Amino acid sequence: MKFVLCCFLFLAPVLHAANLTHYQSSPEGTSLQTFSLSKSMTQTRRTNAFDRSLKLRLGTFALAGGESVVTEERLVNGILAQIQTVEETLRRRGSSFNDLSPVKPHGAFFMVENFRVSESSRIYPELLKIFRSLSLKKWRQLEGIRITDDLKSLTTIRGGKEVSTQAFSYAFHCNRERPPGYCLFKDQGILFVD
Amino acid sequence: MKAFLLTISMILSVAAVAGPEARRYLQQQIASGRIDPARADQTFVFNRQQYRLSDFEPEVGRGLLELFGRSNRDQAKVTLQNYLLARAEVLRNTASPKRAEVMENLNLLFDVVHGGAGTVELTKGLECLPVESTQDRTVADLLNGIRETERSTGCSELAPGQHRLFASDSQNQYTSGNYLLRRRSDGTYQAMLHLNFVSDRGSVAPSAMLERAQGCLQIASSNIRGPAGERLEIVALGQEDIARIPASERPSANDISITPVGSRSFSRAYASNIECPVIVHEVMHLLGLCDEYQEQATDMASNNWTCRVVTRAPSIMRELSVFERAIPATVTCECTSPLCRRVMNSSDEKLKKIYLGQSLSEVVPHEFRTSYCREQSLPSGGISLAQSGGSLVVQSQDNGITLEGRSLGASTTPATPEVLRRRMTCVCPANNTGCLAEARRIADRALAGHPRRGCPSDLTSAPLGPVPDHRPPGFSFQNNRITLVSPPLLPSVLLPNHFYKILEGTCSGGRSAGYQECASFAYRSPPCNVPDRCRDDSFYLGAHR
Repeated sequence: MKFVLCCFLFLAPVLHAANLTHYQSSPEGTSLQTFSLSKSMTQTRRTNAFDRSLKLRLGTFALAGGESVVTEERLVNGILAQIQTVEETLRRRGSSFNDLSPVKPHGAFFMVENFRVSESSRIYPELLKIFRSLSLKKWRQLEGIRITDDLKSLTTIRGGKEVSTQAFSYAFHCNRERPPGYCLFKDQGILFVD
Repeated sequence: MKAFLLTISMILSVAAVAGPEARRYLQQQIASGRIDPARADQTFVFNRQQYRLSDFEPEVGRGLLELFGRSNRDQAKVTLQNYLLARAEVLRNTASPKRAEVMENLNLLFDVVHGGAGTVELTKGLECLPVESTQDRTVADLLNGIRETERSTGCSELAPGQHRLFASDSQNQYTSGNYLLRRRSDGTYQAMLHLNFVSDRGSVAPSAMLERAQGCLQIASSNIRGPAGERLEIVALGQEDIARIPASERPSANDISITPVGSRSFSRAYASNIECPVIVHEVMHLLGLCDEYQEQATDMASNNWTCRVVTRAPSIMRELSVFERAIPATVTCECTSPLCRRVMNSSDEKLKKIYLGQSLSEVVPHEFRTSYCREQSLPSGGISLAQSGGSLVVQSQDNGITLEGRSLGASTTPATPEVLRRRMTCVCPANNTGCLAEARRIADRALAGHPRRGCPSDLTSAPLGPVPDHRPPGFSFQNNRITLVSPPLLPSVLLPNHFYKILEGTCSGGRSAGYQECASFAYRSPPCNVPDRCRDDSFYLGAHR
């Protein structure tokens, strides 16, 4: 039993903070959503393009009490270890992991730390699964904006508190006078409205 | 018992030394794509014996080499990356003899993937847009130096009746896409692309998507002009159309997937609900034009395309609203609301002018207003109809512009008009000449007093969308329908050097030389070394006369 435990500890990946970002730039604007897998687990959300779980919200979020991301963190660190091995191998040839990650204009990709993982990579589906799992956790908004489902009001949130609410002008923020469309918020990001 | 014996025999066979036939078989399977070497744990069966793939690294390498001969560069890159990821455990163990075999494969495949030009060409050159077109070219083609582009014709202008076929050329850092350029007897240019739509969980049939793309390109073509007024039509061809073109003139197909509603589109994948501005933008990529919008300035973007020159002129490669602003538009609205009926059946022309005049959001481009402007509601009282002065009131300042948008409240009657007001204040940062130039264009547009380009907001009927129209600007009201005719707000959907780039492809020394130089930074990461002249839109994109 001691032997089994010893081997388990040896094989367990070393856990450390890692950032997992889903990114896509398109003519509508840049979509970016990052999960920082560390002790202060946060989510930076500059788009609702990749998941609609938090509806019309942009900003920074903290993991709600009672939620855990240990599994996701372990999986991401395992993938990162694989990538780093490939990176070291390629570096010796004057190349890099990112050199072999084709990027298509407007194509979505993941960044695991500074490593770009394109849609055609064998690890992209795994990352997508982890990303979706993280998205489904409960998140508490710390900073940013929130728009009501009826598109009538826009609330600003700071330090986890609502600091102001004003009428939301769809025609000003969005590309059309009426939905559907996409809306831009300076320094906050982009929201797609169905 | 039988199952047990079978398992034992399989375990033994895995360890068995494979004959040359099994090795040849594996190599063929990998080369044909039937076995994926990126799955390290994979086994294969030959002559009823099971083998582990990882015991055959030399064959795996040779199979991949054959596969690369039929792959494009992007596929080869990612296949090599996937292969290495699958062997990460082996690579970590420096004492393993298997590692030496994997490293040998890497040596074998590395040069093929990188080609003669090395990593710089691989990582940067191919990331420029027509990269997507290189997907049609195999590595073997590229290595053999096959050129489909008729470069011998150089930058010479096509005479009426002549044609030129463009295709991707990955040896050139900035290249063209796949299309046929013809010049008709009346001097009009026609750029023809073969769009091959394939469903990928999309809810629109390929034939319907082709029809949509053809419609959008027809609308755009109503105002694609060169600097001297030359006309260019962009035509999307399907499978049947392409068969009617002589084989020697036939452009290669551009495969485009149709993806679900709400997914993001790019030039090789269209969301099922894609609209004309995006279709036109994406087709321009296939004609060799690069993006000009800003990548978000974050750590993320620094891994990507921060060398891109962000333009300021009204360019469809940066701002989608250029599509709608550049085409003459006719919009028909059903007059269904009480307000509409009251206004349109009255004889008060001032009321109609406010009701059907341009709105703030039509005059101030989306990207501009969300970057430099803020909006506030003003009290609705205190203004009479006589003072209202139309739907927009403009006040230019040295550092920007202030506009007041006016609309009619639902309770408006000819006798008691309710004028709703919103103020938009736009302030340009110091020394931002592009912002100031746009502010001047906004003022000109607002003062022109054209009708709206969409239905008034109280009308629920969807506008029919912009369609080419050459009637004089204005509105008419018949059979309870309002028809609004607006002139184009821009001289062309394309800027002059976009136009020349499509005409010239990759030839050097032509009128698109400035464009080619500056656009080559569109998908590069630092170090950039972008020449100063590329920051000048008139050098990069040219200026309409």
